[in-house]
Amino acid sequence: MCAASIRRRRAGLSELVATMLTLTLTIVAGSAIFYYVGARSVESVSLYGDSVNEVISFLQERATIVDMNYTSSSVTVWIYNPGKVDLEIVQILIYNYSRSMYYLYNATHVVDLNNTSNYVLLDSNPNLEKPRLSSFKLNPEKAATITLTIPNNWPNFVNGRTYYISITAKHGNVFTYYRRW
Amino acid sequence: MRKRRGVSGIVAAVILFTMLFTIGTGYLIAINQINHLYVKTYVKSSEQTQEQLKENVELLARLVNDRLTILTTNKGEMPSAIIAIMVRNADGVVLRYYNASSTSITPKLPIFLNPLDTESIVTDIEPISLQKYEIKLLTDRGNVFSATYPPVRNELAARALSSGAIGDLYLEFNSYSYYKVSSNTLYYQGQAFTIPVSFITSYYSAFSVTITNLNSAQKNIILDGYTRIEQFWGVGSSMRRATWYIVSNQSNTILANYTPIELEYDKPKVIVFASSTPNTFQPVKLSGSEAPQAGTPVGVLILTHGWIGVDYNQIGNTTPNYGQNSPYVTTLYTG
Repeated sequence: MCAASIRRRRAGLSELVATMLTLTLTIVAGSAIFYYVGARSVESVSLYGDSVNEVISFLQERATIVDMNYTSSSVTVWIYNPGKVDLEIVQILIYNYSRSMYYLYNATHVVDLNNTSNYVLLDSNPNLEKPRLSSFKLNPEKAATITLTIPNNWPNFVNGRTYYISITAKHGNVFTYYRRW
Repeated sequence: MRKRRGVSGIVAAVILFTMLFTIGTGYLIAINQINHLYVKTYVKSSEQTQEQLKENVELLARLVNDRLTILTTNKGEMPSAIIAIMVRNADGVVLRYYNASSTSITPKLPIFLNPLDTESIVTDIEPISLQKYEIKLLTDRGNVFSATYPPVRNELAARALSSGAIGDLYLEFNSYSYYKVSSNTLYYQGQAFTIPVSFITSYYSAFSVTITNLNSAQKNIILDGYTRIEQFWGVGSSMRRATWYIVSNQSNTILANYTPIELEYDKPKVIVFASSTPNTFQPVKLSGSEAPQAGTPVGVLILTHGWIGVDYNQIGNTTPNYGQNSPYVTTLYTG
């Protein structure tokens, strides 16, 4: 074997190794980028989808408060769901024009918003909210009533005055109604 | 030494293209689908809101055979479905809540009303003298319409002003409406007490009024094709008139030929006047010289003609035996 042919074979080997290394690096780096970008795009689509879903639910959520009916210590609200999704209620506010009466009913509490230390736990007084908002779900094109009772020793409704009711639904819509007793 | 060409560039290009056509395309398709869903929902939501705004059901509470009866007329552009009715007294006490399962109301709920349709809903409530009632009606679109019994002062005044006391026909004063006619379709414009001259000269027009047969002997009345609304203005030789003949309609579509309309006792019916000729629909548009000048109040007469106390199947063999001329309202044409 002559010296020239030995030099040629060694040069060929190093080129092959270099190519293999480059190829491996390229494939590894490319795959890493591929999976990273893929994961990020899936995450991005998922976040965007969730966000659009929430907006869609907001658009499909509707309620009509048909009427209210008072006694001195309670109010019954008649609600109809003309929307396309179930109506779930997060909270209900009852107040008068001057907000001297300002009560909040949610899944767990009845709170006097003029004095937030004044509250009642619904678990110990379940009759104040019928049905409980935690279990209330109104299907589309259905009507239902909710009766809210004012806790003992709290100021009651006064005949001849107007009271407002403001219902906040699960997807962020707020529905307001008022009626004079 | 001959330099050999590397393949890493090709591999990189393949990887880049794979990324572009898998992740990139997938991403774009997913985003596009989500956007499509959003736009579709938004459009549906807007349509629902528009439909809700177009819905208009008029109520009139009255006493028929000692029962509280609610006369409903669909004055909107959309069919309506009444799904629930609530009646409460002046103290706010809910007396009745009628829904689809209630059997004490006639007809049973839900009640479907096409545009211009009317329905008398008879409740089982026998009103107590001097007691006031509030009636609320809920539609499937979520609209609430209300009325009181007895009707409030302006409703009573409106009814008194109509020609209910003259002859057999009770004409619902507030129901006097005008329409644009396009092809054979009616488009409600509003009450017809004030109309721009430009409207009557630019568009084919029509009028409607709710008529109730209150014949004291409770006989039926059938209107023939010569029944019409006439508007007249001016005096002496400058007196002018315009005529709209009665037409048959299905909801807001005018039918080509008129079929005699039967008015049963105490069943309100919306009558449409839209034709320049009797019995066959020919739309009416007044030219400038035929129309009243701006600022002209015109008298409105309803000339009814047909049969009274005759079976509907026998009208072909019977000479019309009924005719009535009802002075009705005034329309002011404005500039």
